[in-house]
Amino acid sequence: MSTTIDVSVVPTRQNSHSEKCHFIPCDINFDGEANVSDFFNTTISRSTEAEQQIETETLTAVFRGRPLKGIEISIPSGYTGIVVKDPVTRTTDDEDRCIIATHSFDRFNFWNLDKVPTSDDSLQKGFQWVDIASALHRPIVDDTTEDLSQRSIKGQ
Amino acid sequence: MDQLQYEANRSKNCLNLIESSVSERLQSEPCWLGVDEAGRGPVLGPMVYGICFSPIADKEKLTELKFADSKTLSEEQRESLFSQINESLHMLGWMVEILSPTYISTSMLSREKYNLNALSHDCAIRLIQQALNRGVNVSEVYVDTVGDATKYQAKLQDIFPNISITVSKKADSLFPIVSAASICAKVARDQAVKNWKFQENISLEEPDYGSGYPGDPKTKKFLEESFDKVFGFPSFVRYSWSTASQIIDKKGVSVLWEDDDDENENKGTPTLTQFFNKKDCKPELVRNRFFTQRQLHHVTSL
Repeated sequence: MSTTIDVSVVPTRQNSHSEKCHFIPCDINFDGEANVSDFFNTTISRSTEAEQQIETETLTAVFRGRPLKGIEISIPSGYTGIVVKDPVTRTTDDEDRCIIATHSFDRFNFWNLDKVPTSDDSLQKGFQWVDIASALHRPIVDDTTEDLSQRSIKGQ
Repeated sequence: MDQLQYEANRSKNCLNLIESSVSERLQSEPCWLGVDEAGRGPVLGPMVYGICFSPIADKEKLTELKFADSKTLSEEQRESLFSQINESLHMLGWMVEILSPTYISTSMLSREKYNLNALSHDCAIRLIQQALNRGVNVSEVYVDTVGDATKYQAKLQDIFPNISITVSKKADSLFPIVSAASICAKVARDQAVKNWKFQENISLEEPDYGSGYPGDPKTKKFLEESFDKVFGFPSFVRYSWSTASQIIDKKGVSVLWEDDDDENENKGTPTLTQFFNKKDCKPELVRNRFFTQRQLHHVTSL
């Protein structure tokens, strides 16, 4: 089977149309529409904290009575966040699959349980891969440097 | 009582202080101060802590005002006594702190559980400190106990060594200054509950949620009707009450938190032979720590 993602209907980040997404620190055993604006967005409050002259906006919210602390994270440049939907219910695993991107976002709220997000959180550290991957896969264009390094390896 | 500031934040995770003016006499003459709370038991709405203070020289006059435990009074009687308090601000002062239901839930359901007794003690301490900050000459403090009276008294005495502290059961009927504090707290709680505006678009058959006590059929009905299977309840509800959590467990979609594992771990001691079993590991498939620490996985199918 193969899987394709149809992104034709979703605006890219240049169109700057952005949906609000939340990354919640728990597994919610539910798929479908939920009343986020009434029950979640109403609990969000913002405060600005200045630490070592760097002002950061931290957010607080509540889910099921538990305290969440969050920050807004931007999707790394060159990437777009998408929300996908599988329009067909398949009966076997062998069928080809086409899922459709329905919404896009260029930033989202990242929430921790009762802990202010830091750069040590695995999600934020995960974004480091974006830079490393692009460095690893970047084509080497400068021939002269390559020759020099080759030479040094060969001891010339 | 002007609760405007509180009303703006009622769904938020916060504390709000409302206070009367403090006359000069309360700053110059030694005062006694009463502490009491309202709305500790209900599953709905905020909990309110109140303090009231007055010159010790006026103890007799205060008795004439015929304060009694707020629970034995009707709402009208409480309202009228509260107006009397406000007409007597030359010899009385009060402060209340409103602990939003969300503040109660999030405190009790935080990573480090903050129990209701500790939360109540801290609130009483904050209020006494606030009175001192306002220049009130506090020399005696009377508190209706929460938890063990002896331990509570020792805790307060330790924090305020220059004040004579009395913590006792039923202080609200023994000391008129505590009765006055209980009236301030109860009036504030009633007002907060009555004026509650739901930020959530919930449709109720009848907007009557009863006393807020878990046993009240009207309260039970409200909890059932306002329930959302994903989010739970409106922010009016204290999630940390077993009445609320039982409904969530029964009717809500299941939610697993990262700290849920802690409680389920250590179930059953491993047998000795388990330590000798070869672990099912294939070293060639172990990913670099860079990826495992960041929880990065290969996605080959969706």
